[in-house]
Amino acid sequence: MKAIGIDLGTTNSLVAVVTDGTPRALPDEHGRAILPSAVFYGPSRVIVGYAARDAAADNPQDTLLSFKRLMGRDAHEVAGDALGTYRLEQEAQVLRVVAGDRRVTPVEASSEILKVLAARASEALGGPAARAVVTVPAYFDDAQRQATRQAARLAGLHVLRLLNEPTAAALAYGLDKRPEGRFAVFDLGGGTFDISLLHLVDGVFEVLSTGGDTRLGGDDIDLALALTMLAEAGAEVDSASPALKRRAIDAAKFAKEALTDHYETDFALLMDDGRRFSRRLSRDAFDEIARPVLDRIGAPCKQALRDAGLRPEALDGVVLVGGSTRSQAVQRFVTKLFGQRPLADIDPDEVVAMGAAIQADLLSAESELRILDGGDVLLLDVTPLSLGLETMGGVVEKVIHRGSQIPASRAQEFTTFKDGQAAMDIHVLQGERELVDDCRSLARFRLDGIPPAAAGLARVRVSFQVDADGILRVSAEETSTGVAQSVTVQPAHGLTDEQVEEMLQASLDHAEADVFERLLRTARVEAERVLIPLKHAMSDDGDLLDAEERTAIEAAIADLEAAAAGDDHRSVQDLTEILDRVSAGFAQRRMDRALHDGLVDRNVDDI
Amino acid sequence: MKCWQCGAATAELDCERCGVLQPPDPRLDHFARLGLEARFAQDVDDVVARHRSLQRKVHPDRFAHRGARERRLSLEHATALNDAVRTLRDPLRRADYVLKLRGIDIDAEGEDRVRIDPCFLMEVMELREATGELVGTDAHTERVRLKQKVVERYEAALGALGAGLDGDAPLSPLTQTAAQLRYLRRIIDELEALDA
Repeated sequence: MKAIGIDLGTTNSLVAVVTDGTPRALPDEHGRAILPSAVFYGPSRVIVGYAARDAAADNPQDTLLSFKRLMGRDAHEVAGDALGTYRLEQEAQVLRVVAGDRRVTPVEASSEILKVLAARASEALGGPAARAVVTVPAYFDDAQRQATRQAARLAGLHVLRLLNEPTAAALAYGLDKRPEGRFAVFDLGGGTFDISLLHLVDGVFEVLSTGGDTRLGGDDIDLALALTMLAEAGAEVDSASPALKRRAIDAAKFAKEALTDHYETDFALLMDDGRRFSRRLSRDAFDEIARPVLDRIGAPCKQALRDAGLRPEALDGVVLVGGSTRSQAVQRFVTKLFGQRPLADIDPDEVVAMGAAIQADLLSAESELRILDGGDVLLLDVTPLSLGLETMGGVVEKVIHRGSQIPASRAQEFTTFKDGQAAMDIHVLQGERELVDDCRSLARFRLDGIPPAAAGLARVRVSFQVDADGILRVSAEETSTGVAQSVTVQPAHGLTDEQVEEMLQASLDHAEADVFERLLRTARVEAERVLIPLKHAMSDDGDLLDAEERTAIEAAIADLEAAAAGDDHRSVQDLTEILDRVSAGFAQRRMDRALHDGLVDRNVDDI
Repeated sequence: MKCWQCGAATAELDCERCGVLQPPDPRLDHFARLGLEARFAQDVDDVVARHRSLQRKVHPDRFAHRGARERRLSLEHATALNDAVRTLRDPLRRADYVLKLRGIDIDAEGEDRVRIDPCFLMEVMELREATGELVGTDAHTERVRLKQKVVERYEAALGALGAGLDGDAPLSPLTQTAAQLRYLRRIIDELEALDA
C-alpha cells in the first residue's frame, strides 16, 4: 500500500499522495482538501474538522484549535496563548486541556486529526494507509517532535520520516529539478514561523541553516487585530467572555482575508451586551497593527542568512509556504527583506503536504517517482537547536551544535567531583543560551552504580545520538572500570511511550465498539428503508398477495423488526436481505400494475 | 570483510553478492572515510562533494523500506560521514584533527594541557578590550578595521600551521599555533555578532 504525506498544521491539515507520478492533495467527500485542525469534544462524541471549527464560537472551551502550539509543552510555557480560552491542567509532566467532560492531551487531539486524514487516504487508495511522512516545523525541538511521533502512533500510523516543512516545500516546488541553487523557504503558518536556507547540488538538498519561532504566526496577527478592535469597542479584554474573544478573533481573521483582495473592509463584532461594533479598516491601518508581529519575523531571517554565510542577493529563489503568506502585508514584507519577489505558484496551503507525499513515495520500495522521472533527490537536514548538558554552576555545555547535519552523534566525558561519588545527575538541555535556566529542559536522569573512587577518577561518558528525524537519544556509561551502564531518557515534557501505548490500547478498544455501533446504525437504517415502503404497499396493494405469500412476508417483517431492536448488525443485515427476497415477487407485480395503470392513464389522456 | 548476511567476502559498502549494506569500517579515520589523503591541505568543495556522493549511497532515507539491521547500519554510516565532513570542512577543526592523528590532543586537561604563550594571551586581552569598547556603539568603520586586523592575523597563522603540518615541522610550535587560532577565531565571531 502507498505511503502517504501528511501536513499536520496549526490551523489546517492535509493529506496527499503520489499517483501517476504526481502529488495530489486528497479531498473529503465535499471536495475540500483542507481539514481544519479543530477538534470539538461534545458530550457523546468527538467532531473533527469544519464542523468542529464552526462549533468553536458557541463552545469556545470544548473546541480545541491551534493545539499544535501545545505539543510538547508545559502549562506555564503556553499561558497567554489563545487569549486564555482553554482550561489547562498540568499533572506531573503531562499537559491536558479540559474539554467537555474529558481531559485531553495535545497528542490525543492531534491524533484525531491524523485518524481522519488516514481514513480519507484509505478510502482513496482502496486499502489501509498505514505508513506516512508527517511534517513538522524545522524549528520544532525534541519534545515537540516526539509528541508528533506519538500522535501518529496513536492514530495507528507508522511514521517513515518526520520531514521538516520547508524542506517539503522545496521538494514540492521541484527545486530539485534545477541544476543548482540556493533557496529560502519562508513559512508563515497560523501558529509557527520557519525560515530555512537550502543549497541544492547534484540532486542533494543540504539545509544550510534554519531559524524561526514556534510561537509566532498568522494567529498573532489576528490576535493583535482582535485586541486592538476590542479595545476600540471599549471592552475590557481581561473580563470579556470567552465567546466574545472567539468572535473577535474570527472577525479579525475574516477582515485579514478580505484585505488580501480589497483595499478596505468592515470589521464587525457583536458585543456581549448585544451592541454591534463596526469600524472601517484600511490596508494601511491593518499593516500598522500587524507591524510588531512582522518585525519579529525579520530577526530569525537575518540570523539564518548569517548562519548560512549568505547575502539576500545570493539567493536563487524565495518560496512562500503557509496560508498566512497570502496576506499582501506579508508578501510586501518578504519582497523587501530578500530583495526579490517570492515564488508563489503552488497553493501555499497544499505545498507542504505535496512535498510530504513526494518524500513518502521516495522512501517506499515501490517508489513511482524514482522509476517514472528518475526523481532521486536526497535531503540532508540539520539540527535546529544546540543540544547540551548541565555542568557545574548551572552552565550548559553544548554537545551537538545548532546546524549540525543529522544523523549526528557526539560524546562528552565527565569526571566525578567528590570522593566516593556513586551517582551522577545528567540534565539534557536544548537551546542556544549559556545558562540552564534559559534553555529548554529535555530530560533528567541519574546514572547510578559508579564504583567508589577519588574525585576525578571515575569517568562518565555521555553520548548523544540524533537520528534522521531529529529525535535525540542520550545514554551514559561509566567507563573507567569497564563497568558500563546505559540509561534511556524519558522525555521531560509530555507523555511517556508507555502512556501512549495505554492510550492506543484504550482507543483500539473504543474503536472496536465505535465500529460496531456504526455498523448497527447503518443496518437499522437499511432495514427501515425496506420495511416502511413494504408495509405501505401491503395495505395499498394487498390484493396482489396470496395467503401463503402474505404469511411469509409478515413472518419476515416480524423477524427483522425483532432483530433491529437488538444489537447484532449481522442478523439485521441478513434478515433485511431475506425480506427483500421474500417480497421480490410482490414488488414485481406492483411494478407491473403501476406501469399498466400509467399506460391506461396516458391512453385516457390521449383521447 | 565478510558480508553479515551471505558470508561472501566483500570490500564495498554493499555486499558484492547479495547487495545488503555492510557496517562502517571502524578503522577508518575521517580522511579515509571520505577517500582523502590524510593531510591538512584540502579542497573544501571536494571534501563536501565526496560527503554528498557517499550520503547518496548510505543515508537512512535510502534504507527506509529495508530491514532493521540495514536501517541501523545506514544510520551508523551517515553519522560517521557527517562527523567526518564536520571535522574536515572547517580548517581549524581539520588542523586539530591532523594533530590528533599524530598523538596530540589540543583539548587535553591536566598535565598534557597545552600552555599558551603569555605574550599571546596579553595580545588577546588587548583585542578583547578593543572589541568590548565597540559593543553598543555604531562605530561600524572601527569594527570593520579591527575585524580585518584579527582576520589577517588568523589567516597568516592558519597558513603557517597548514604548511607546517604538511611539511613535517616539529609538532610543539604547531600545537601552540593551533591553540592560539581558537582565541583569534572567537574574537572574530564576537566581532561578527556585533555587526549582526
